Amino acid sequence: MDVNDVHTKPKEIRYRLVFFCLALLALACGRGDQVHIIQLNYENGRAVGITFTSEMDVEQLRVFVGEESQTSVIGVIVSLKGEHNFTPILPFTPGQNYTLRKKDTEVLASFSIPDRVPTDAVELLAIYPQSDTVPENLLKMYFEFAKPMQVVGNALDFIRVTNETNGTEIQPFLRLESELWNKERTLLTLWLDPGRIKTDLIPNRERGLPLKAGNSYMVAIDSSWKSIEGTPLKKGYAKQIYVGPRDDTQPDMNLWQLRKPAEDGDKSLYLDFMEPMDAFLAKETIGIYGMDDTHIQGRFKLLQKERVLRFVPDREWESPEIEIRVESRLEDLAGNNLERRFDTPIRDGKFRDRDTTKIRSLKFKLK
Amino acid sequence: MKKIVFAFAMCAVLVLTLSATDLMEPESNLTAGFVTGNPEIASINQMSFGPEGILFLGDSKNAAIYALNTKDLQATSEVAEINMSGFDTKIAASLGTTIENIKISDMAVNPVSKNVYFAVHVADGTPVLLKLKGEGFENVSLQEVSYSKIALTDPIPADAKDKRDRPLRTWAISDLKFHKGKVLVSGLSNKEFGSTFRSIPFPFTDTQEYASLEIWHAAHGKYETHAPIKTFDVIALDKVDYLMASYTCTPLVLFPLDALKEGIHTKGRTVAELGAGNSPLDMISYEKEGSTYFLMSNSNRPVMRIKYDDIANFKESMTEPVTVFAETEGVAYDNLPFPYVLQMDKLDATHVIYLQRQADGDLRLRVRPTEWM
Repeated sequence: MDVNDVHTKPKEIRYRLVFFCLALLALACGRGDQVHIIQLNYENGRAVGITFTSEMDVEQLRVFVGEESQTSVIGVIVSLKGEHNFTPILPFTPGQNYTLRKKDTEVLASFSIPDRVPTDAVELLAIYPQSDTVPENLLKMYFEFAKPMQVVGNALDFIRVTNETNGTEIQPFLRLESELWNKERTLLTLWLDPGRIKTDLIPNRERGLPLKAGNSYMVAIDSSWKSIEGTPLKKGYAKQIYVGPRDDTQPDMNLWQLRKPAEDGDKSLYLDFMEPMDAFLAKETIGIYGMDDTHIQGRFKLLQKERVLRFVPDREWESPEIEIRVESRLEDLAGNNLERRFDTPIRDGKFRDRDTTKIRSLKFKLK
Repeated sequence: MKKIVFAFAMCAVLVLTLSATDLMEPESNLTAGFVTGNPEIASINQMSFGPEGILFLGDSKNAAIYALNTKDLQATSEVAEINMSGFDTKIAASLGTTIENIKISDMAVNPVSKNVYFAVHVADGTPVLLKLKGEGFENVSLQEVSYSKIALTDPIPADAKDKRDRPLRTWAISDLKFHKGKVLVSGLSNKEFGSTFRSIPFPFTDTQEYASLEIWHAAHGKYETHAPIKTFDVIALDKVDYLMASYTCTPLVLFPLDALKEGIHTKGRTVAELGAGNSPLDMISYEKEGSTYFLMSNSNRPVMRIKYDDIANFKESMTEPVTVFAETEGVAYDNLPFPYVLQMDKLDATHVIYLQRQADGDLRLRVRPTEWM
């Protein structure tokens, strides 16, 4: 709705506005068009509108960004008790200057939105995998922030990866138009180009793996990356990665080791995967069940750089035997899940995909 | 004073009459289950119009599809001549800000009114829906609107005991279209690599089907499952509807739509390899002089024009790898002289509207007759 469309507001306001303006017009005859800004209106720290007085017909008034723009800001003017309130559809931008003009040209008043008071700088909480050594066919990385990060721009513009072994800058990540953030926009998933990871695919043949065994890399995160509030990162971050051999082995549940709750009252259960697993899938694909098929509620935490999963039940252990149920989509760092390797070879000209929604289980005696 | 009272009385009568007329209008079957209120849309990543001015929005943040009743039903046969320069500056200015604080995520044309809609995100992530009005914009409320919603549920293991409280995966919705009573959606998960193609009956019910699609990816020289669909359209060949999907690097693959069933592994037929090092963006079709054409915009190549007959006559499936980088194979196409087209949609039967980055950096919104496409 444009300022022009103010008469689509409730009829009562419209008529009052019309009579009010007509009355003012008569009184103001010969006084000229003047606008007096009274105040900026804030809600939750954001400038959501401006209050002004004027004796002119406010339907001729428009708000513009700066002095040059010819596109008026979308919003509505509501008049009450001799004051007019302009409310844009989005809060005004901190640090931005605006003009109130008669129609498109004559500047009658201007106002600026104060710059935002800097809040605590944003921290990058973790980069996953947390391990310094990764397989050559590492499939993805997660970046976890303390606050929601900016929507505009592209995340890859703030991440620089350098091969420290030969000093070249590389671009290992898959660039997507629609980036993979969680809903809160605090967790970013970046895929290392899968076309380069799968053996014999053309990108793999031409450019090779994004990361090469025996080399070390520096993943640097630029401090100019901002939160949605416009606050930049506290500092630049960096993570060094040493690349080890390729991992073409599926996680094998039979090799997993369980450390039972201690006798001294620590009821934690520790599950050692014997290799680092995907930091987020590990916590959401595993369920602990009692013998009577009841789901044992509790909290998961990954330890030892995602190699060990700790489970603390909300209540005391009751069942003498437990079942650990795992969805087959659980992956290791190279994207190998419980059903197939990420780089699955073709046999007889056919790709055999398996059902990754299947549940696998392990049973352990606690007592 | 009496005159004013009389005028108010007349207005009141008029308003009451209009309201009563509204109430008497038969409610469309498609919008019968809609509710009015705030759908709390968190993001608009893709959008596409269905019938009766219903706008489908793909919200990756909420992992949901919304159907909005825009009530924008004023039919027109007139097409505006649009040639707007500085488009991103103007859209930012209408939102009271500057271009570094906005991101235009999609564009869609209402086939009834020919109005052009834009989904925009501002720096704090707030999604905004705007309608082009002359050289300016009109806000389309996302807070008070008649709508229907369906969540994109994850495939849940049949033997999973606890289906509640499962953490939601993010779905980067890559494309969505309405076709014969169904909303077709392609997307990519943030946790497991692999795309899912969904077919969702509309009006929304509790059902949705997701299919696992397998393609022969000639540029990759292998059967390649799980490749994320970037854009798609529907094509009828011998009276059978096919999903025509395009992927990064850039194979064009056909899947029979009725074979896309839950749990069934469907193998597609690759009809073209349109060159590596590229990602398709939008796909539309139009008719000209009795022939049907498809247009596909791309990240690193100009708009491609593909003739329907060439697809229909391509009976084989490409199985030999393309071995030379960026070489193309299969169905023929023409490169149109329109590079860096970021958004594209059909304005009417004979016009295309597109948002194009010019060589000097200017972002321009243009309408062009299909006669010259």
